Amino acid sequence: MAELHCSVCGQSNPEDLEVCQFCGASLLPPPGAGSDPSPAIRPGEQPTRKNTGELEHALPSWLKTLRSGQDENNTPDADPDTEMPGLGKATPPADTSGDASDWLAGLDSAASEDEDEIPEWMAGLGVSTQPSFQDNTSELDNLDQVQPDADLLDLLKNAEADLAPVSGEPARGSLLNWEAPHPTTADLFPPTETNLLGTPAQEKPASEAIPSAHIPDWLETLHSKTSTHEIDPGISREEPPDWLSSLPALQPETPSPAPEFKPDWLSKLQGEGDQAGQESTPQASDPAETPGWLASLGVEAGPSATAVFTDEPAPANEANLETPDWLAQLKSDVKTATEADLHAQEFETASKPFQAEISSEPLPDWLSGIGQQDSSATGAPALVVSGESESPVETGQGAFSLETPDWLSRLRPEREPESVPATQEGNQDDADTTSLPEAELPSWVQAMRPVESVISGSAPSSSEEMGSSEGSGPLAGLRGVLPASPGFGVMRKPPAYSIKLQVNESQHRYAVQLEKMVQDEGKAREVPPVQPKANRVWRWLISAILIGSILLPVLTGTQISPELQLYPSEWARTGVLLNEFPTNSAMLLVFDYEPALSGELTASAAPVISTILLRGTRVALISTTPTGPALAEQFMESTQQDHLSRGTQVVNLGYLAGGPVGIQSFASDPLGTINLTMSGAPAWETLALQGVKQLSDFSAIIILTDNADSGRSWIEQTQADLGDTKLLLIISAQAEPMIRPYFDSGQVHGLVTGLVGGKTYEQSYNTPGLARDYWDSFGLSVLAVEMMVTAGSLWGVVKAWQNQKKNRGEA
Amino acid sequence: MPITLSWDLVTGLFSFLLTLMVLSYLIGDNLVFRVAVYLFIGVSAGYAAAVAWNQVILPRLFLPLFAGGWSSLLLLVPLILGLLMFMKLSPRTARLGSPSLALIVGVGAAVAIGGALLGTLFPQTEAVINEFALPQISAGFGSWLGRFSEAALMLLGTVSTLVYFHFSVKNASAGPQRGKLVDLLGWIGQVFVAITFGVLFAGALAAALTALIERIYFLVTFLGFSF
Amino acid sequence: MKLKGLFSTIIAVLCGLVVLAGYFVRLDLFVSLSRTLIEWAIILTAFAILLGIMNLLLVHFGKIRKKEKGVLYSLILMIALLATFAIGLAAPYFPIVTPVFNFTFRAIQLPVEASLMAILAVTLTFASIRLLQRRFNAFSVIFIITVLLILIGTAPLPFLGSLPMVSDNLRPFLAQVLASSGARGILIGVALGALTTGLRIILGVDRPYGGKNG
Repeated sequence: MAELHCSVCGQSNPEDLEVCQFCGASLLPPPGAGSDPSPAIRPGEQPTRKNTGELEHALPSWLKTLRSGQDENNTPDADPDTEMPGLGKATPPADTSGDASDWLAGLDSAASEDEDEIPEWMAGLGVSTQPSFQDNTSELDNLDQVQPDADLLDLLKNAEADLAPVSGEPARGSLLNWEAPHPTTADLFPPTETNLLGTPAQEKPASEAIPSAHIPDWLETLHSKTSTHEIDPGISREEPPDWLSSLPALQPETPSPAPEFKPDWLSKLQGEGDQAGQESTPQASDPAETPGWLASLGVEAGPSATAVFTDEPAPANEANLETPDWLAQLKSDVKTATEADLHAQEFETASKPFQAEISSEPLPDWLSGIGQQDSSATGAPALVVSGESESPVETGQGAFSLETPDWLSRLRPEREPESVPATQEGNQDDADTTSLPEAELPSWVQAMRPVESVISGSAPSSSEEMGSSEGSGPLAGLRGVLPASPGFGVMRKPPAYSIKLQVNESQHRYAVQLEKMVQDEGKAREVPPVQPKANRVWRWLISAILIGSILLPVLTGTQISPELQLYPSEWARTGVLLNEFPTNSAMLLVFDYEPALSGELTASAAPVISTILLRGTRVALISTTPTGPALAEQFMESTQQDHLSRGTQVVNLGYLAGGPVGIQSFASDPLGTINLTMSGAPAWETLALQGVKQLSDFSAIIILTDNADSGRSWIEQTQADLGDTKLLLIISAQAEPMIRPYFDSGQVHGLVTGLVGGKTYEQSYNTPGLARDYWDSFGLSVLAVEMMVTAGSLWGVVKAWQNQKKNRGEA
Repeated sequence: MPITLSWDLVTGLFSFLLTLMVLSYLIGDNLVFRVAVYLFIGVSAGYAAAVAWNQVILPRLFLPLFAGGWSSLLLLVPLILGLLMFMKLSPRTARLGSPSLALIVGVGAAVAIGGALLGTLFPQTEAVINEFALPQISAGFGSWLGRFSEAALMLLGTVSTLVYFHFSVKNASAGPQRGKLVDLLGWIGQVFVAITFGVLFAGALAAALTALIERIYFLVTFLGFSF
Repeated sequence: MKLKGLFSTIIAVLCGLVVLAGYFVRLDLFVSLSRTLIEWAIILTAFAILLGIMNLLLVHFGKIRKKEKGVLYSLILMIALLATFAIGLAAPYFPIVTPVFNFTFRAIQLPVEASLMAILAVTLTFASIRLLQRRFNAFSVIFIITVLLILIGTAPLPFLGSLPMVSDNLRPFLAQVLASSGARGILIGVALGALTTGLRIILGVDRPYGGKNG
């Protein structure tokens, strides 16, 4: 006679019994299993496809209720606020039930249809998750501000590329899915899905274990996304993780627990969830899953970094007080390398190629070192308990917490009595497993089977690794079917920061431009070959011509240059000014030129100063260059000896230091700036400066300069204190263009320029002097220069024309 | 004629020799040219130092300080700052001299601002405007048109030169783009700048030619005076 | 900003503000403070000259001590510098030394510097001859044509006199209209640059006296 074995207590019961006579558990086969119970699935096995639609009538009542109540109790749609800005409006999947011969497909579609109503069970949850939700919403908004849609997509592509060296192959599918239409609530659920199905995953990759043709689309998508999600602890804000892009595809399968129906198994599940949570925690933080580039973000940083990223101290303390064990265990697990190694196999890995490469090995050598690497690292915490999300990754997870079902929301308070040391967890699990026999999974459960873990070859051998078994209810004895991650609403991926520099498009353009400039600077420019010998010959030739043109009039004594026939335009104003100088007035003579141009300026200034001194003007000499006083004395001795001998009052005030500062000081307070003359006498008591108390007491300021800057300084700094004092500049020809605007504007009242200016006054006053002496040589040398420059320029034109012709010929 | 030694003769002789030594550079770089140049640098530096001491530091700082009086105690500040400035000679103590330079720079900056505003910006801008103070058309359209054209040309030259100097960075394809009007103005400004520099160059050449003439004239004169 | 830089920055900013106030606000307090600071700046400028010369001395002294190339020139420079400085210090107190001090200027500085400028005439001529041979473009052509026209119009040519249209029309137009307007633009640009630079210094943004940004 056949006996029925209780799936709960394992005792044999008569075949006709429906309830275990020992424990009272139902002896009916689990729903979905039908009458064809499959053998227990072992890691690495592919589930057999079952047409479970025909078994729908066998659904337990709670599942029927669940299905019929989908419309009322479905997972609420994402609030508009929770939609991730920048991701665009989520749209429902085109058709997620295309392959839904399975009755569960109905759940899928139903979940996506009615998303507006907030079920009752969410109401209580909403209270606890509201802050998190708001925070995340705001952060989502911030995300939108940081990265517009297009940029985010670009970033995703970049992130995908960035993951390539880590995961072997970027999860391209995730990016495609991201770009595809997706349901709204999908944004909020991927972590849940990952935790629900991914946490206990220890089997081969879905791509190997489950042919894609045999599984629903949503599950196929889930598989790839889940595996992708697990590899992105280091994905930064700048590099949105792949899981984020897979959000849409995950949404339809969101479980929607019945709002009010709380069977026993659910309450039992809470305890299981705690256990699973303790196990899932190190999974999420296990360094074995950490990609190489994140090795430095290792485990040891976990606790401290967790504290750093905890947004509010209060929840953290609360967690310590109320749920200390699993949380403490979580942290300790994060820190403990041995624990990490223990759970290393439970982690999902990167992309499929990576999995395929290592799936046959329990734990490769290169992976064995990861834990050590992780212990040495770095920045991003393995887990963040209740933290303010700072990245798109976190944002998505934070928003997900809103969707946490109520049975999970109660995990915390109920966790307290179960808070046991981590070492006891295993024992407790062992006890559970001994109390319940292994159950056989029906096909529909197979379809829900968690996706493959990273190392399928190293299948879990203990109950901790497999996840908890259900102790009662329709799923009693099943292991790892129901979500086992407690508090995934508050646990989230650690914020990870990219070590890469984030640049936007504009910055990138500038960087490219700068790089190009630097490269251009580094390039050797073609320099025409220097021909020092030829240059030297040319230099000799030019020198000979110039010196010859100068010497010829000097040695011959002939006047070959005609007198000036046209006076410079400034002569009109300056001549009038010179004639208007009052007699016996004080005049300031500024010698601000270098000895180099003393020849030109002496020739230019001598006739002008002589004309002024003829009117009995008293003169004060000053200079802002150290050699100026000596130049002034030499000038007066060499050109104005006649006036000096006639008793013209001249006083040398010497050197005025400080440049423009000294000029400003002298202009605003002459008496305070200069006290003594060059000879040491009190300056303002001399006859030359009698009656002068301020700058405007001078009848004129005559500035001799070869430097436009020096002349400009005098013009600028004396402007405010000038009064009616006339400003006359005698300048070198090289300073004319920069001084002329001041003459045109009326700031300078008189202007004498270069040798031509001196010649003009000599000629007009009929007092031949140095300018006349130089005039013939000047004219001839200028002519020589013009001829040479013209010849050289014409030769340059011919050369350029020849080069152009040559280039055309070559072309 | 007997040659009498005098300061003028010695000065002339030295000047003659040094002029020849420097002009020997026209043949090529040589020892005597370098000797003359290094001698000139040394003398110039020593001369400037002596002038700075004799005409600034001594009469403006030490003499009033030694003269006494409470007000002169204020001069201790520039004395200390001046001595601290010599800390710049050593890299280790260089920062002690920074306050002294800071005072010079701060005062210089303020003076430069005042001068630029009152001495150049306002008057020159006003001058550009005043160029359009045109005569009455009734006085003669030709005259009016000539003045107007000249004023417009000067305005164009001023503005375009400013544009050229302030937007002289090449318009790279990857960088921010400038308007075509700015590009055109910049090009016109470049023409004006080329003309301005041409005039400057011609002036420098004329000044240098005058210096050469003066030196050759001196050489000839000295030879004629001496012999 | 480090504390050591802060002190210098405060000095520069305060001095700049006070002098600027004295420039535009003619109140006795500001004017008096401004003049005092300017007086100090003048004295410090003289110290700066001494500092520069001392640095020159030290550099050449180092060359002599290390027996680097050109020791002879360094020796000449140092001797000339020290001798001139000594003569200059003694000149006010010993009238007999005064002619020697004047001699150093008239016999050495003046002829050498003027001769260097004379050499420049050959160099500039050579450069202008080669200009179009080295760089042939529109602006070079404009430049060299301007140079030629200005030189032709500057002085009457030997044997020829003034060329019609050049001396009386073309040169004035080039120098007093085109070049002057370009120079005015340059001057306004320089003034704007001085303004912004001065403001940056007074605001402590630029610290060319040893600050970080300097």
